[in-house]
Amino acid sequence: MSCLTWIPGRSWIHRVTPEARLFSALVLMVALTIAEGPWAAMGGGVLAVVLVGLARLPLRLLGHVLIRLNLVLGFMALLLLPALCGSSLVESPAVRPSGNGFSLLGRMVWKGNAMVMLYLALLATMDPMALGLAMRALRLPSRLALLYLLTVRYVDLLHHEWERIRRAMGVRGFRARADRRTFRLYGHALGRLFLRSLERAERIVWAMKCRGFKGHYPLSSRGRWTTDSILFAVGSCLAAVLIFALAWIR
Amino acid sequence: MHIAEGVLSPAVAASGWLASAAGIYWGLRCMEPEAIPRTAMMTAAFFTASLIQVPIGPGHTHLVLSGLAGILLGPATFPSLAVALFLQALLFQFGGLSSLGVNLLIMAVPAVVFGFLFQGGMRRRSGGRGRLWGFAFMAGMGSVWLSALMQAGALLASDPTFRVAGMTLAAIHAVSGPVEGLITAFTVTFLEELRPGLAKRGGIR
Amino acid sequence: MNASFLRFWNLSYAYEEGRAVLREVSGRIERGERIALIGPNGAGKSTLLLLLMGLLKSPTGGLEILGRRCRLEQDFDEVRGRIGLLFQDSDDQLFNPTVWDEMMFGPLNLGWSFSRAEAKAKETLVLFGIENQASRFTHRLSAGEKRLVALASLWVMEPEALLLDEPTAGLDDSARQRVKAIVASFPGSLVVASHDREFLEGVTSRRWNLVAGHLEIE
Repeated sequence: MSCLTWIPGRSWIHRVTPEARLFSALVLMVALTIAEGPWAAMGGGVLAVVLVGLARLPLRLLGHVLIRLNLVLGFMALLLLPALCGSSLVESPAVRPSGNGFSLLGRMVWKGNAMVMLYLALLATMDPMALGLAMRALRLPSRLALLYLLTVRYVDLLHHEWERIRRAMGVRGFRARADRRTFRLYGHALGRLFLRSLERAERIVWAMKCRGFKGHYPLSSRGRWTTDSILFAVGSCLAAVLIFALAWIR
Repeated sequence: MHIAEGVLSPAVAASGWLASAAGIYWGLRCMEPEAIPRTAMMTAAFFTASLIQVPIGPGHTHLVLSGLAGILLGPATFPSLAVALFLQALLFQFGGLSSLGVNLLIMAVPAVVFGFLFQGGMRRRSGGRGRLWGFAFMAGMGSVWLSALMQAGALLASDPTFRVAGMTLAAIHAVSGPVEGLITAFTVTFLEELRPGLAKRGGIR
Repeated sequence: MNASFLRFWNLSYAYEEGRAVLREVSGRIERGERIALIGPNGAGKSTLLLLLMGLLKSPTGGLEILGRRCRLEQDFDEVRGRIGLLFQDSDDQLFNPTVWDEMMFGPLNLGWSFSRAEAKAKETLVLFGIENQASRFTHRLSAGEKRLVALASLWVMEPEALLLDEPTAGLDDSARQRVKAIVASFPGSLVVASHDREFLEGVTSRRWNLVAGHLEIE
């Protein structure tokens, strides 16, 4: 089983090139993060719903993700309870709450859900590896893109290593408890995992050197910009401008 | 240890992104070209480790191991954890993308600080195994505690209404500090036995 | 005088102190020679191949490739592109995102022009019968496909020699036959470390025996 899951499909969004989708996601996320006010949040939410529809995300999966997110946000809300009730517990002359708890809670839930839907629709609909290639094509720092690509490339192999180490421990009667022995065994198992990953890294560097690597990573392909993807990117920019404009409405 | 999507105020989220971009840039600059595969493998290993559930009291916790990352990776902790946090947000919706900048600062800054402290402590005197264990424990526990404080600070800076929430979360995370410390200490002593110098000198770089 | 393609003498290696895997082994590979490197597990076959590529360094003896003494990392940098080493674990070798990137990595590192590298990559993919796989992600390939791509990624650099470490291990029969046919058609020098008798008989003509850290040349 791979721990790198994504949502394959044949929707219109799936056909937009990864570069255009990543670019749009970045632009829209910046807009949604920075733009303030109820109208901007509303606009962002509508946009996110539209994108989720265009990507034809499976509703069960979407529901699953959003429920989990809202449980986390609900926990935060629980901690906000004293503020919501206007309890004197948090009132102190030194710190005066900036807004009231309810508007804070509203922003949290609304923006949180919009943001998660946005990147589910745009980014989770492509192979994580394709996302790395898109980072390259968009000229994000090349070392960062390479780091991401290599991590994605090898994460499943290391996960398998870990399962093997875990199984070997289980065979010898290891049961995880909250005691010192458990932590020591975990420490040793993790140490073994790190050593294996370092050995793997060493062999990768060897393989690179064998193919003429002298400290410079060549780029072997260029980004693809189709008419569709340019339109999509331009559309996202316009949507971002719209969200900023909405933020001006008081 | 991750702040979810939508919680932070725009100003805090944006400044978090700017500051962590600087951190990532610094970390990338510190890397030799040949260190990139090493760092990537360690990133994959840390990502794997973050999926591990460790029992603690009646419940369980996910490992953070930022102290260990700081010891092994040094400044490269910034780009490494950036990749790991990005994958966590994208695949499991742990944390979030808008809050990624702040989350990265919360984890990587203490990690790098305690990594340097650890290496400093190892350099001054060639102490025995106990000294190694002790410093690794401090790095593991200290970085989680500092992270918890920074998280509370980020929430408070976002909105003063988060005062109770921030303090509660900090207290919750503080509980896992000793566990992180123990596991970090055992991992470091194990690594140091099989590959002397790896942890003491921050061998990944 | 025509020098050997590769000559090595008195190479030793120990992963742990006091437990030598190789003890003062010597040998030479002539141009176009096809050598089977055999020996039990842990006899040091992989280690010898890594020493020949300069990835591990022997504390004793020396190594000459195309009449050039190779001692330092820079010496090896210049000859590595001319010898291809196929790793035992294809995953070590396929670190690029896609099959296409994998094909372009070597040639671009060697300083070829983009168009020359592109042409050679396309030609090699066709030769290996994997031209429709170019845009696939390497980690999603099957074991057999991975081995073929790894071999192709060396082939594309037009090496004068190939060192193959267990090229057929873990492959099913059809993949094995494809690898065999391709290796058999390789014109240059060849060293194959393997336990696969039939494969060795098909593609090699001489035998090197590694036993207890010593190299017996037949």
